[in-house]
Amino acid sequence: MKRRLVVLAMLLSCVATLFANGSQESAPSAKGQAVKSQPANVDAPKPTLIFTTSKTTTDMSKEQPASLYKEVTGYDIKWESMDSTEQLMLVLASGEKKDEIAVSHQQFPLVLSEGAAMDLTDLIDQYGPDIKKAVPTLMPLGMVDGRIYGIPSPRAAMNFPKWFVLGRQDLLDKAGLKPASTPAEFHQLLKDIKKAYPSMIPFGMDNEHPNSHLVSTITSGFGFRGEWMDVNGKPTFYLKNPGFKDYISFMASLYKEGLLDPDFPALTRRDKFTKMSSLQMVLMDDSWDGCRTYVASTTDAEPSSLVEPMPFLKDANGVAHHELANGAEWFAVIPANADHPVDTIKAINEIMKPENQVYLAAGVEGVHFNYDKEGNIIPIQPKFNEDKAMAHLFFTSMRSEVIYNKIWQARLMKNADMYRIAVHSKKFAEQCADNAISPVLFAPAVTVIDNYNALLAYVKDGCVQVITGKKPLSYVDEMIAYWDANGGKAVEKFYADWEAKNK
Amino acid sequence: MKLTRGEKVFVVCNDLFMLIVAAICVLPVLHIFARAFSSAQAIGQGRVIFWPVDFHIAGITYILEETSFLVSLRNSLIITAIGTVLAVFCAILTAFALAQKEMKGRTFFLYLYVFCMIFHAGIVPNYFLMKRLGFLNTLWCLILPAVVNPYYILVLKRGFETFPSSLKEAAQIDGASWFTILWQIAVPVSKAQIATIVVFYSVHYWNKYTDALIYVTDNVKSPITMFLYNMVKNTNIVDFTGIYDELPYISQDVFNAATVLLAVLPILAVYPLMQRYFVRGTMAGAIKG
Amino acid sequence: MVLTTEQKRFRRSQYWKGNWQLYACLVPGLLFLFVFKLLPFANISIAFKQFKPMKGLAGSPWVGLKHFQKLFSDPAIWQVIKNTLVINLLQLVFVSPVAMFFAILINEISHRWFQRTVQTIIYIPHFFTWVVIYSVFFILFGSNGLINQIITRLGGKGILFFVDSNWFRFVLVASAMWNKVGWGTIVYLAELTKIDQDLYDAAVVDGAGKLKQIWHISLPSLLPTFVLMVTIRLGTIMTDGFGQILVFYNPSVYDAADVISTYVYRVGLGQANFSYATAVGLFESVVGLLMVLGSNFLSKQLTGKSVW
Repeated sequence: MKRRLVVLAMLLSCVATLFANGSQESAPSAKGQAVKSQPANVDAPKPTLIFTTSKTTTDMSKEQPASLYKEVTGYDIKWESMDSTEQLMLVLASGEKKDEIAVSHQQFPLVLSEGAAMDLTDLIDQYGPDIKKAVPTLMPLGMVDGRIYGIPSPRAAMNFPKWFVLGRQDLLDKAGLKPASTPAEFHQLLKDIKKAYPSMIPFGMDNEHPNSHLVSTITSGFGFRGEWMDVNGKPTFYLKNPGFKDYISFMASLYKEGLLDPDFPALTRRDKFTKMSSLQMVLMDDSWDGCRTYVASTTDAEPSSLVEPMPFLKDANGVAHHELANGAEWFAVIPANADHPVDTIKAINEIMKPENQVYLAAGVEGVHFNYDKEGNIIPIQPKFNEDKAMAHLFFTSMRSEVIYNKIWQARLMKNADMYRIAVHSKKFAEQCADNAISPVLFAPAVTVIDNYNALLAYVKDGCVQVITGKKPLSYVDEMIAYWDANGGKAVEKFYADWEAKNK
Repeated sequence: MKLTRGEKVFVVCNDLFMLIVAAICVLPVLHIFARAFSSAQAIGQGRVIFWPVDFHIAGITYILEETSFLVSLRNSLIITAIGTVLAVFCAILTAFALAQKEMKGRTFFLYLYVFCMIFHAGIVPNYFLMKRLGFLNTLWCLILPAVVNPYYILVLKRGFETFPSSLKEAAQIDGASWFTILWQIAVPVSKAQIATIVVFYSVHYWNKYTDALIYVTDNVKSPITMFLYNMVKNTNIVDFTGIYDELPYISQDVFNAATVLLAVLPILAVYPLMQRYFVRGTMAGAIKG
Repeated sequence: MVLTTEQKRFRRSQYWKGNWQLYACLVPGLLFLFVFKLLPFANISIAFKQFKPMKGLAGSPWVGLKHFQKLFSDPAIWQVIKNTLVINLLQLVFVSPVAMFFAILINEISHRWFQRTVQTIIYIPHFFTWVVIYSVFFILFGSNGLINQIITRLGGKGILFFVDSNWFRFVLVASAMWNKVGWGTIVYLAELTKIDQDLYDAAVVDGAGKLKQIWHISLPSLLPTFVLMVTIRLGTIMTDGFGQILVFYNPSVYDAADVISTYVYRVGLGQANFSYATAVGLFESVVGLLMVLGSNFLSKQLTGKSVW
C-alpha cells in the first residue's frame, strides 16, 4: 500500500511539473499593455472578432442586425453573451480570448481592480476619433488616472425613471381608490386594496437586481433617492441617510401586515411578472421595459386590465425625490490579453458613428422608420419590429451619446403600452421637486477598496432581512458599523474628495 | 394463502398508501402539463388543476417558434448521445479490467478512481484546463469531463464481478485472450448491467446544467438544461432596465409551464423503452451486483 | 520459495504476455481520468497564491496558507459548513430509510400489475433535472401555490416555503425525496426478490402475520444494503447538492441553505476571489476524502466489507 501511495505521489508531482511548464504560456502576457503592431499588409485576412454582451437566450447570429456588422465594420463579428459575474471573472482570469466585453457599471470596478481591462488611451487616440466624438461627456467615467480602460455607454432611457411603482389602475378605479401621494396614504391605499381584493397581493417586489430593496417611489416619501445623495453637502450612502430608518421600518410594517408580497425575497422579476399576469397582484415595483411581458400577459388573462404608473410619494416637507439616472450603464472593455485590440477599436469606431448607429439599431429611412418634423425617429411597422426587435442586444455597450437616445425612443414606440407607461412615468419624475442626478454619477469607479460590490451585497441582504422581520430594526446600526469597518468609510472619503475637487 | 382480517386491512391500506405515493410522484407533473395547455385566464383564476382548461397551445408554439429551444434540444441530444457512447465504452473496459482479481496493481487503480471521485481541483483550475484544451464554448466541454464517472464504473465493476467465473475459466483454457472474454462472453452476459449504466449516463448527461453555466457563453452551444435555467431562474446582475425586451409577450405562467413540459417530453418519450429494465428488477440486480 | 532474478523476470514476462490486454482496457478510462480529473490539479497552486489575472498564474505571488487561514477565520464559513452537514444529513436520514420502507411496502402490494405500475411511476421524478424540479416545487409551494391554497382554505396560515429559512430546508429535503426516494427503492426491491420464499412459508406455518414477517425476515435482509447505501452517501456528503441548491436558493435563505459549493461559486467567483475559492474547494475535497475513508472504515466494522 505504501508503495502505491508513493507512486500516486509521483504521478501527482508529474502533473505539477506539467503545470510548471504549462502556466508560462497560459499566463496572460503583459504585452497586452502596449499597442500591438499590426502587419502593414492591408490584404492580410481580417480576424473574426468575438464581442460579448449581457445575458440573453437569443441566438444573436440569427438576428437581422448581426448580418450588417460585416458591412459596417469590415469585420466578421461573433456575438456571445455572458451569464453572470462569476462567468465574467472566469473568462478574464483564464485569459480566454474575447475581443470586446460589455461590462456593467457595477462590474466595472471589479474588472479594474483585477487589472483585467486593457489601457485603451493610445489606441483610441490613434484609431478611434469617432469613439471620442460619440461619448464626449461620459468618457471620464471610463478613465482611471487619465487613462481610458472602458468606453462608456450612455443610459438609453435618458431622463426616464428606472424603477417606479405601477399597477392595475382598473382595479383601483373599480374600488374607487386614488393613487397615494404620501407614505401614510400609500399605507392606507394598500390596506384598502387588501380589503377590496382580499385574495390578491396589494404590493409586490422582487429581489433580483442590486437595488431592488430600495423602492424609489417610496424612498421618495422618506426624503431620499438612489444609492448616494448629498446630505449636508456631503455624498452620503443610503444606509446613513436620515430617512433610511423610517423607510426600512415602513417597509417592514408593510411586510408584517401582509401588504407586501411575502415571497418577494425569493422572486426574480419574471416570478413577479408571473404573479402580475396571473392576476394575483395589484401594484408592483417595476419599470416600463418589462411591460411587453407584464401588460401583454396581464391583458391576456384579464382583457379589461389597465396598467399605469403611480406618482412618486412626497416626504414630510411635501417634496418628492427622483434620481435622474443619466450616466453610463455599460462599458465596452477590451481584455488585457486580447489578440486584436487594433481591429477591435477600428470596428468599435465604425459602430459608434451616428449614421451607423441609426443603420444598425433603427434601420433605413423610409424602410424601417421616418423622421418627423422635430427629427424624431418614428418606426414603420411591421418592418421595424421584424428586423429590429432584438437590435438592443447589440447595443448593450457601444452606444453613442449623440444619437442613441433618439433611436431608443423610437424603439420604445414598438410597443404602445411600453411607450405609454414610459411617458407617464417620465411625467411623474418631472413633477418631482427634487429631480436630480446622483452626486457621484460622474465619479470614477470605486477602486479604493477591493470588494465594494461585496459590501453593497452585504447591506442589501441585511435590508431584506430587516424588511422580512428576520432581523430587528436595530440591525441597521450593526450594518452601519460593518459598513464603516469594511471600507465604507474609504468609499465615502473617495467620493467626498472627488466632489470637492470637481465642484 | 388465507389472510386474517387484520392482514386484509393492512393490504388495503398499503395499496391505498402506495397509490398516494405514486400520485405524489406524478400529479405535480400533470399539474404543470395542464397549465402548459391552459389559457392564462384559467390559470389566473386558479381553475387549472390536473386538466387543461380553455385548451391553448400558444405557449408551446411560442417556445418552438420564438426561442432557441430547438437549438438547445439538438445540443442536448448530441451531448447525451456522444457522451453516453464514449462513457459506456470506457466504463465497460475499465470496469472489466478492475473486476479481474488476477490483475496486479488493481487496488492502486481502484484507489485512484475513488480518490478522483472525491477529490476535485475546483471550478477555477477546471476552467483553466478547459481553456487550455480549447474546449470552452464547444459541446466538448459538456461531454468529455463527465466521461469518466468513478461511481458508475464502480457500479459496473460490481456487475462484472458477479459474472460466473466458470465461463471465464473455460474460455481461458481454450486460449481466449482477455479481449475475447470481454467482448464475446462478459458483455453479452452482462447486458442488463450495461443497460443500467447506459441509463445512468444518459440521464446524467441530459440533466447536468452547472457545467454549461460556467463554460458556455455562446447561446448556440447551450444545452436544454441551460435554456431552462435561463428561463426559470434568471437573475439580473445590473440594476437598470432596458434588457427585458426579449421576454415573451405571453403569460409567464403558461410560458414557464410550457418550457418545463417541452424539456421533460423527450425523457418521457424514451421512458417506456427504458422502464422495462428497472421494473423487471434486472437493473436492480445490476446496481446491487 | 525464493525465486532467482531469472525466474522472476520470466514470470513477469509471462504475466505481461497473458494480461497486457487488461491494462490496455484501462487506457481509455485512465486517459480521461488523467486529463479531466488529475490535470486540473496542475493549477492547484492558485490556492496558495494571490492570483491576479493580469499577472497570470506564474507571475502571481505565493502567499502560502494565507487563504486557508482566512478560511478558518471567516465567520461566514462555519455557518456554511454547518449548512452543508445539516442539509446533507437531513437528506440522508429522509431518503435512504424511506426508500427501504417504501420498497417493503411495494413488495407487499396485492396485485402484480398494480405493483408494476407503482414502480414505473415512482421512478419518473428521478429523470428530471433540478431546474424542472425547482419549477414544479415553486409552482406548488409558492405563496400562492397549490399547497398554500389548500392550507389557507383549511383555515391555516400560509407558509412561506421559499423565504422562511426553516421551511426552506424542508423544501430542499422534500424535493430531494421526490427526486431520489422512488429511484432508491430499486436496490431494496432487488434484495427482496432474492429472499428465499421458503423463509416466508416457514414463518406462515409458525403463525407469523404479515407485520411479523416484515419485521423478522424482510427488514433484516435489507439492513446490509441499507448500511452500504448510507455509507456511500456519507462519502459524497460534502460535494452533493450544488446543482440542487444553486437553483433553489435565494438571498433570504442564505443563512440556512448556503453550502460550501454554492458559497465558493457566489462569493469566490462572483467577487473575483479566485484563490480563496480554490482554497475552500480544496478544503471541501479534503473533508470529503476523510468522510469517505471514515465511512469505509465504518462499513468494514458494520458489514465486514469495504464499500469499494
